[in-house]
Amino acid sequence: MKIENTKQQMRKGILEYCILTILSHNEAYPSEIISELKASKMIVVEGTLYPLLTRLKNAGILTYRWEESASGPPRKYYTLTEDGESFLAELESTWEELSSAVETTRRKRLNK
Amino acid sequence: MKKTVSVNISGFIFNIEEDAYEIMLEYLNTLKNHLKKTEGGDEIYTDIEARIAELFQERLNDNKQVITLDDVNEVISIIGKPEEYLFDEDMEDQTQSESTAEEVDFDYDVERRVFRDTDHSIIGGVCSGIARYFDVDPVIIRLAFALLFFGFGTGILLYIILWIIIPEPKSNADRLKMHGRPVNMENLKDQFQKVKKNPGRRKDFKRSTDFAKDVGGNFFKVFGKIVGFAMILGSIVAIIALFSLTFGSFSFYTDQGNFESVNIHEFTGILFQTKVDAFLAWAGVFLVSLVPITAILLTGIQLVTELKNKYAKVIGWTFAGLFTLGVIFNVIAGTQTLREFSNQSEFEERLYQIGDQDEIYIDVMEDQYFSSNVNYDDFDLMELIQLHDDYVYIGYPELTLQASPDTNFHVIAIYSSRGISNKSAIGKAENIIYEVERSGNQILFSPYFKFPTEDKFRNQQVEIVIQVPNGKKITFGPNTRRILDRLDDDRELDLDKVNKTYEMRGKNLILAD
Repeated sequence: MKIENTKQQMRKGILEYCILTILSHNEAYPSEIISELKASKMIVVEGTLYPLLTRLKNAGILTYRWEESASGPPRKYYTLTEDGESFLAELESTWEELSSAVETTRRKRLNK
Repeated sequence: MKKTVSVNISGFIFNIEEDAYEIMLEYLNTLKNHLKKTEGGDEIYTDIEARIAELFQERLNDNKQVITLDDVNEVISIIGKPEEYLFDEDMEDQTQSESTAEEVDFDYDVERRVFRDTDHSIIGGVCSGIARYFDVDPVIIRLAFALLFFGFGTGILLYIILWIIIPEPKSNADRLKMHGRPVNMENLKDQFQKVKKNPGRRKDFKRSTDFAKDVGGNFFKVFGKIVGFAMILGSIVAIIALFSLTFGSFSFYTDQGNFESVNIHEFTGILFQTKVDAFLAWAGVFLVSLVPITAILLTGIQLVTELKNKYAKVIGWTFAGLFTLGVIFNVIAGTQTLREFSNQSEFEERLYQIGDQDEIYIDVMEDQYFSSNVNYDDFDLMELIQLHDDYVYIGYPELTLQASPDTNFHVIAIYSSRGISNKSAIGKAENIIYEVERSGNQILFSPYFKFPTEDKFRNQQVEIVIQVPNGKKITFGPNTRRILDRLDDDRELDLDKVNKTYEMRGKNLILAD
């Protein structure tokens, strides 16, 4: 059992949740998503994002439209699909449950 | 001053410095390799490329128009190395990720390939390349080749062939593969630095590498032109032959040494039942032969002129179509004609019954078509089929000798033919005309039989059966071999009979004293 492995798994799940949260308010293209994630120190390298976006899109959770860009190739603007909305809602409640569970567990330990 | 390379990334043109280009190229290749087996890998790759283009664009302005090594390193660090951001799940192998998590270097591409080691070469880098592949000292391989040079002389040829077929490493990735080292970013950077530090070494040997290319290239060029020229000549001769065969008469030497002009259509005219069949057969043969000949001609022209053929695809399909059409024509004509041969019928005509003679004398009569023209010692089957005045003359009636069932000589003619039905076959057999003359104990046979041209050639045959009674004699005249078992292989025996008298004893003909 490698600690790296566990960290990676945790990070990946939460990263997906973060991406969906960013996109829940407004559509965004990868660079925008990246800068938000970077600001919150969720990702270090940009490359991480692209496979995730592609997988979420292929899973029907995200969709995108093309838009011309003044400074480079056309950009993909991503939004949540209807499935994505309900998926996010589910993730949100799961997250609530998990974080409260973690909090409770940790608090108990600390109080001891 | 630095050399730049112009590249197209995601539809945008960038001028990129050569060293930076190498790194970028290897990065993208590494990425592609990583994504090869990932679902949606192509799309991820395109997305990342687009992002790289965007990041490059941000680094350019009116005062800076070239992407430098620093830019590339910066962009790579922003996007990250594939091994940093591709989760195990994205990779094909989803098993225990221990190895990937543990090792910083990815061992995904450790295939070792043989290249000519042009960096450490004496002539073309063949020996050092092979040595590199097997991880042995190049001296050993060179020694082996040297022995081959002096031992058999084949070494030179082998070396040249290997020189031509073993590629030289084109990129740093190739150089790593040559050494059997994994192609990853760390190794590539190492290799790049190494090459950069040691450019002189490569330059020295640039000359010899080019030389190899020149020798190989020129050899193939000259060889190709010679082959191409031969192809053109050969195909032109073949085309002329094909056309004269199809549209005209062709000439050939007969055994007598004189030119004789024969229209081959006359012969095929007696084979095919209808004009349509004949046309289909001819068109079929014509197409089936013309297509490959023309293809050879075009290939030859292309080899000699070295022009690229823009219409190769169209011509290819046209040829394929014409060829298929030709095959179909032939199949139709062939099956139609085979049906014409499907039934055989024969009938007998008892010509003579001779009871008052102890000995008969047989011979073949002289005629204007066969006996004076055909050399029966050495003839061609085609000579025995002739066309005159609406009749087909066939020069191979057969003679068979048997023991008589009674005390009489019997001379029997058996006529046979094939046809589309038994009725048509028997009709054609009845139309066969064969001449036999008898005076006293002398019987003269014709060297040919004939039938009307409109009957077509349906393997009509005439067999003469002579039955000799026990104790009686038969003498074969000098020309008998014109009809003696002509189609049998053992003509030796038949020639023996000529001008001799035989006696029937029991069931066997024995030479009489």
